[in-house]
Amino acid sequence: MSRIDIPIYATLALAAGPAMFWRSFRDLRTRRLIQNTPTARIRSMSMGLVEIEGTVAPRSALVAPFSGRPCAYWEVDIATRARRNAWSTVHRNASGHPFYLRDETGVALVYPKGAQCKINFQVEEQCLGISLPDLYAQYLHDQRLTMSALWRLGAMRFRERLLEEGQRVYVLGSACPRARATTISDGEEMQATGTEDMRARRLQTLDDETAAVVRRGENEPTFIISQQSERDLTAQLGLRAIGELIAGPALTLLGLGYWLYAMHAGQVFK
Amino acid sequence: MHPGEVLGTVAVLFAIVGLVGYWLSIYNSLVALKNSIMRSWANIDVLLKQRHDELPKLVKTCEGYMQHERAVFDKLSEARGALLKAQTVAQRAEAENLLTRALGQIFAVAEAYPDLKANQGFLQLQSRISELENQIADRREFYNDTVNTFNTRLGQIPDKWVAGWLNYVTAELFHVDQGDRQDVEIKFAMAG
Repeated sequence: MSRIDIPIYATLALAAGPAMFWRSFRDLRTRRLIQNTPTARIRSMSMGLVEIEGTVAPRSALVAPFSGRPCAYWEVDIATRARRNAWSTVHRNASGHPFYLRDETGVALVYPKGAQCKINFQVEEQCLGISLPDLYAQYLHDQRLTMSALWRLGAMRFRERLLEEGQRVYVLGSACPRARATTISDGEEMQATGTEDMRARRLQTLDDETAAVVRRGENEPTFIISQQSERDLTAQLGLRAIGELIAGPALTLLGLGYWLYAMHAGQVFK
Repeated sequence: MHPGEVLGTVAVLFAIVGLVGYWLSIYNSLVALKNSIMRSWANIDVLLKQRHDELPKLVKTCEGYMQHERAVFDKLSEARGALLKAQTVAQRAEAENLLTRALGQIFAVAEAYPDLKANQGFLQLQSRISELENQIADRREFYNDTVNTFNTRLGQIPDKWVAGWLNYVTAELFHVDQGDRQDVEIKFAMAG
């Protein structure tokens, strides 16, 4: 760390400290909410905030953009190399398609838009921007990312996380009644025309069984989709909240201390 | 003011804000949990109302076939009356268990009436009521889970102090009737 860097870090610490301190309370609240909400069975879940657990089943025929694997939901992010080997995320994208969640008692439809997804990365690749593999270059092209030419001047990192069929997930979100869709062509017609297949039949069954839709609520914005169990999730949030509760004030004091002593010694603006 | 004094003041401020914030987070979550108990209790009522609406239809369908089973219908109407009068969690639990047993008896007696068993309306009602019974059982369990979380927190420090300040007392669990814990005795009448 050079002498020129110290004021920058002190200012960053001064700005980040209170934000971190504030965030610790938000994490504590989320942790309490998870702990206080018992897991409901899908068949009997009530409308409003619910916590459910089950296995994922896709609703749409989705393919993850980087790995090409069939999945129920995907999320990708692209980062470029910033100062001091740190990565700076420049693009995020998610499939946003709803998927089914099934437990022993029923099926719910999850709309993942706006969810805080805690899914492990299954693909992570770093490459030089000028020699990007076709797959990533094509993705940048398809997404019409105007800054992509600039990003490609340095190293880039591509990450992808997926929810695949049969994976067990935990969902905390707001349940609301499902909208009844009008079927354009019914089963018999599909059978007669030979367009009905196993997948269509299975989707129809799941659709009929769907008890409710789980999404981000208007009054309760907490919406979590996690691969971790409830216990792991609360433990992680608790540790993070304690860390932020200590680190927030510590960073603020460090940043403030630097500037106060610098001003006291008359070193500022000289 | 010396920088050390400013830093000391800021540190104390952080400590005060931290403690107040922590206390508020406990306070808010206890209030939310208390409301959650009331909500889960009310959510059982929603299903009970649905079951209540199905019962007259069931009685009407069955009465035509089971004219000699007056006692079974009397028990059902007695249980419905008790449910309407119930005030406390314990009274409600007792009345609901009575109603569940009365329904069980109707379905058991219906086995002896092949015409009734073949009636589509009866089959639909039976399936609907069984479905509602399962959902009610789930929601009772959910209610008990919420009450358990609340009661546990009321016994833990520092939540106990905040709950004491709020005058919160432990909530009542929904207990299953003693009769429902016993094994069901099934007797088959052997023909010939």
